[in-house]
Amino acid sequence: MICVLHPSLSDAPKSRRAFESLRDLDPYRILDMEVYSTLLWHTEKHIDLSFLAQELLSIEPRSPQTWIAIGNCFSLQKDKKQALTCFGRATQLDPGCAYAYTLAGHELVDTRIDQAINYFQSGIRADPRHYNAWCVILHHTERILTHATHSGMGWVHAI
Amino acid sequence: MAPPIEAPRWVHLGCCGPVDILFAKAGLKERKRQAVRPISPSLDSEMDDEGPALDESNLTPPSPSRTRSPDDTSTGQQSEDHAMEIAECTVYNTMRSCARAFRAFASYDLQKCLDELEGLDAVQQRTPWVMGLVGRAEYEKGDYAAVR
Repeated sequence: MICVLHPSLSDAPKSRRAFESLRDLDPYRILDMEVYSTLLWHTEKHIDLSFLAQELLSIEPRSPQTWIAIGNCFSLQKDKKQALTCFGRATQLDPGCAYAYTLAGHELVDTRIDQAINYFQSGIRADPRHYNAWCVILHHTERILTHATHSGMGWVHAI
Repeated sequence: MAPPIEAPRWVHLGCCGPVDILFAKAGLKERKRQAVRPISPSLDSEMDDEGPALDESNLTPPSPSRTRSPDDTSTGQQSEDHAMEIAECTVYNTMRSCARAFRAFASYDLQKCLDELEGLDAVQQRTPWVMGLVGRAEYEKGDYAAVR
């Protein structure tokens, strides 16, 4: 969790500069914007993130990247329920979008570990090389194992 | 019974016309170069755009065929052919760099990915695809390193 919530942000300014010039160059680009929205989430840029989400929504409301950006926006405002709805919509639009599952799992990891585990599993199923989901699972191994032994879940053998 | 007459080379190559008989002794490569000649004027502007970047890349355009073609009398056509070859080399080199960069990105070798993208010429570095990849690589460099 530490790694995902507090990544090494030494490269964040460079990354942000690249994304900003990308948006100057191609304001209608949808691809890669989920990464940019997460970057803005990490750096807690409320206004920029809201603006990005609004713009993406007006450009293409049917892309998962748009809904990930909106979900990140709600997540930054601590509105977990709305954020979950948005991430859920992103996964409906593209069931192969591993990032949306992982972010939805993040919203639930502190309160509903069982549902969060399901989301992380879905994310890994969508993309086995999606390291974010693996990272969270590894950092919560203890809690997950405790939960698994209490609820008698068999899937834990898979890990 | 007379032995079958061997068809001249230009018949196999699907060419016709008196001019082709002159080129019949030339190699297949020469024929290909003749074939691409008609489309070259449309690529002139593109070649001009890519002109300054050629010095930076380490391409070595194959040019010995220029000296081997005795039939090519027009120097203008020769230089046009040469420019076409250089343009092809530039396009291939750019594609190769992009592919290497994306491959490094996919295997989370992010520094290598960034180095490859740095090696592209300035015009290519200002394209949305490259900028998006740079942004993602820079972001994931910190993130992925922390995860490991």
